[in-house]
Parts: sequence; C-alpha cells; structure tokens
Amino acid sequence: MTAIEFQLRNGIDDAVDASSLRRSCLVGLSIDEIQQQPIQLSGRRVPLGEVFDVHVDHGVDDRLVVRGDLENVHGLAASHDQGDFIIEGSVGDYCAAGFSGGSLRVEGNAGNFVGGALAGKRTGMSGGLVRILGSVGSHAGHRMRRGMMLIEQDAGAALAASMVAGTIVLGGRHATNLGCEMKRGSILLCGRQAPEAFGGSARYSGRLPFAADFLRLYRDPPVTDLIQLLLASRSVLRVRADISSGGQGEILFPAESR
Amino acid sequence: MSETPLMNGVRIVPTFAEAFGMKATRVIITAADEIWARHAAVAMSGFGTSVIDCKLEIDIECELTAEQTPDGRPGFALLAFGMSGGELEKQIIRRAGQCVLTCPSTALFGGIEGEHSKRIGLGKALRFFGDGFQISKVINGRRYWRIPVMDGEFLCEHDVPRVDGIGGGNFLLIARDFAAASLAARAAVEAIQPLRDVIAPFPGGVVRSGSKVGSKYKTLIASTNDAYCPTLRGVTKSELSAEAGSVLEIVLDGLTFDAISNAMRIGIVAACEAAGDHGLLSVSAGNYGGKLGPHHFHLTEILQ
Repeated sequence: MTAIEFQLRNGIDDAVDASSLRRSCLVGLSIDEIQQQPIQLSGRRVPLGEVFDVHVDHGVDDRLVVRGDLENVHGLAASHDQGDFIIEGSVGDYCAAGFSGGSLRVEGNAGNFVGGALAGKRTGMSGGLVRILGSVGSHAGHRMRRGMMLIEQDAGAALAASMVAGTIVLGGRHATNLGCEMKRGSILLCGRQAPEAFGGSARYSGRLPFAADFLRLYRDPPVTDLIQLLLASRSVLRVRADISSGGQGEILFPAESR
Repeated sequence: MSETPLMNGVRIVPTFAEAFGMKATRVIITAADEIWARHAAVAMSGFGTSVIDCKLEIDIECELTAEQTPDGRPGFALLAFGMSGGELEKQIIRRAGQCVLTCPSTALFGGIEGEHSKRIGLGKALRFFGDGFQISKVINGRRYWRIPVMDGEFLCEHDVPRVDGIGGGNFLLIARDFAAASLAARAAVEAIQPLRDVIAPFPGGVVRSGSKVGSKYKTLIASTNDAYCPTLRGVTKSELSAEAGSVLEIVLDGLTFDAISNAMRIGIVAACEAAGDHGLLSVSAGNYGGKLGPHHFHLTEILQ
C-alpha cells in the first residue's frame, strides 16, 4: 500500500501530458526513481521531478493525489486501473482517458474528453468510478465502454458521444449533441432540463414514461446523492439515442423537469 | 431399550442421520408486492422435493421485508441444492426462466454474500430472452441484466454464488397412528420454519415415503424404506415395534452442518413436546451404516 502525492511546481505554465503518470508504473519505485520517470512538457520529454514535487507515503491506502493549478495538465488518471486517484483542483483534457478500474475524484472542473479514448485507442473508459465535482468540457464519456461517471455540475457539448456502454450521471445541464452516435449505455440527467430537450431531433426517440426499477439498486453515496431527483421523481421519462445511427442508448430524466 | 434417553416420554433411538455433500445456492425473488413475489417463489420451488427425480431440492427459506432485499421491495429467499454444480446450475436456470422471468414485476438476485469463485450464470443465460434489447448494468461491483418484458423490465443478477451444502439430514417420527405422527411432524416443521440456512423441501416439510438405496427393480435407484413401513411387519426385517402404526420423516438440507444439527434439535424437541402425550413413540433417523455420507448427525449428541 502506497500513497504517492504530486504537487505541480510553480512556474509550470506549458501544457503537460501527464498520461504517463500511472499507478501501475509507479508503485514499488523509490522516490528518486519516480522523479526520473519521463513526462511530456510542451512536447519535450523531461523527468517527472522537473514538473512535480513528489511525496511518497508507505503503509497507507493505495492512492495517487495530484495538487496544483492543473488546468493545463492533460491526461491525468489516464489508464488508471485500481485504487483511488484524487485530483485537488481543476484539470485539463483527457482526464481519465482509458480509465479501467478504481476511483477518481476531481475536486474541480475537468476539460474535454473526460473518460474518453487514449490516442490510438478505439474505446474510452472501461471500468471504475469517475467523479467530477465540478463541470466538464465537451465529449465527456466519448466512446465510453463500461464503468460509471458522475458529473455533479454541467457538461459541454457531445456528452456521451459514441458511447458504447456504461453509465453517466449528470447533476447539471448538458449542451448540444448529447449522446450523438451513442450505441448503448445510460445517461441519467438529474438536473432540470430545458422544456424543448430532445424534441424535434432525429437523434432521439419520443419521450416515454419509464419504470426505472434498476435505480433502486444504487444504495450508496455519492451516486444516491446525485440521482436523488430521479429516485424521488413521481415519473421518469426516457428517450433512446442515437436512433439515427441505430443506437439503443437511453437517457433518463425526471418528468417534472420538462 | 431402557438406556435410551426419553424426551417427554418419547424414546430417542441412539442412532444417527447420514447426510451427503451437495452444491447449494440462495436466490432472492422480489416483486412489486408480496403476492407476486410469493407466486414466483412458490412456482420456482415447486417439484423440488428430492434430487432422486426432481434433480433439485429447493424451498422457500424465508420471507424478506423490503428493507432486507437488494431493490427495496418485498421478497423471498429460496435455498436450492443439487448433487453437482453443473446440475444445480442447469436446474436453477430452467426454473428462473420459467417461474420468475414469467411472473409479473419480479426481479431475481443472488442471496449469498461474500466472495465465491464458483458461480451460477443466471442473468448470463436468461439475458438472451431480451433478443438483443437487454441492457447490462454493473452496480456496486455486481452485474445485472435488464431484460425487456411486457410489464417493464426483468432485473436479474448476472451470476450468483455457488457454495458447498449438505443434503439429507433427517429424523423419523414413529407414532402409534397417523394422527400422532402428523401432529408431531407439523410441530417440528413449524419450529424449523423460522430458521435460516436450512430447508425442509418435501410437501409441508414432511415425507412419508422414506426410501432406501436401491431396489429389486434394476431401473430404480431408490425404493420404499420397508424397515419403517408398518404394513410390512412380518414380511421384512422391521425396525418398528408392534404398537407403531405410522412413521413420518423430516428431511433437511442446509448450508452448514450446524444449521442442520440445530434444526434437527429444534424439530425433535418440538415434536416431542407436541405429541409425546398423544402417541409419538420414538424418534429415529435414517442412515446407510455410515458408509455413504460423510456427515453424521447423532441424535443423542444433538439433543444434549
């Protein structure tokens, strides 16, 4: 059991590709070895220690913690496979890309393509729990295949685009092209939706009442906290998406929000 | 004879019940209300008295409140026992498909907690009824299938644990007449019914056709237990005294040795208390000399 903590150094303003910062590659290394691991800073390959201050704590829960002004740090928690990953602050693009297990908590906003596919890969997130306490940019859950993503505030355009399976729970509002090219999977919209939502688009089926019995299986926070509006709703509506491309995905939302 | 212990005047024969290892699972059926849940549970546990010809021994273990079920609806827990893991899986899937999937508003879950590597693929098999419209969901680390049906969705856990169990715990209630045997048997079953981890799968928890291994007919693997048939005294080597006129047996399947042992103790005590003064003569148990089944339940030890 090892906790590894990273603090972004002051003065790092260039884009950082932190997708190589993986638990599976770092566990068991000494602090010096961790600091020598390569990382991409503005396209240059530099030692990790030049970008982050590193602190290792043995004998505690298995987790990675990253702190600092991380909005220009991309690919954090990419390919994370087990244990807890905590990001204290807002983060850049491709956060949790290729995420496959364990849990991630982002205590801020996240950029585009949260839980999306890694470069060169066909599928996005394939397991685990990703929780964003703030909002996300566009294409969150792009090509998502499995697992659960909780977005407690708003989502940008093309949420769940080309989603294959899994569950996305959105606490706030969504933007355009929700579920475009979605094959399967579930999107639970817990916030208030615009009255015209899902109307007049060939992408979505009609809104129909739906007995979402499976929601009762969620018993633990934070999921239950977020889907409270759905659980408490007198009636849940469902549309299927993206029917224009033969998809069977589902979007659930409380009837009261219409 | 005089050294055998008595309980409320009933002789406890110093013998033992001989039981076998089986494969077991617990499933939980829930529904919109207790009535539909009970219909499904009764249907699923029907024709599940003995592996001899039912291939599965299954019964309702207990009723569950909404607070005790995975989806917060009323339900029932059922225990099922088979002679092998493969046979158990085959029979459970058939019953789930024909008796639970078909019953309005029901859902089906595993009921054995903890990590178990041996699994029975329930939803894994039943999902194909969805004809491609089924939806998989992993919730709290467990996979479920949502299968569209005409009243909504049938929710079914992907697979459920399979554990080792014990089948064939038993005791024989030997009475002066049927009325006394029936009184004793009903009292025993009523006392056993609230217990967990154990079922009495025969009708009303009681069997009258106790069997021995083998038969004079080559096609039969079991035949009537002639030593305990009152009508065969004089033509076979009987275990019954002259005054015994009726024998009923309680057969118990359980998840653990202790569960069966405890149920036997509670059942025997209840039977003796209820019918000791009304014609229950003795309590015995069925065994095969200790050579076939590894689990031995000695009556005198159980009742100490």
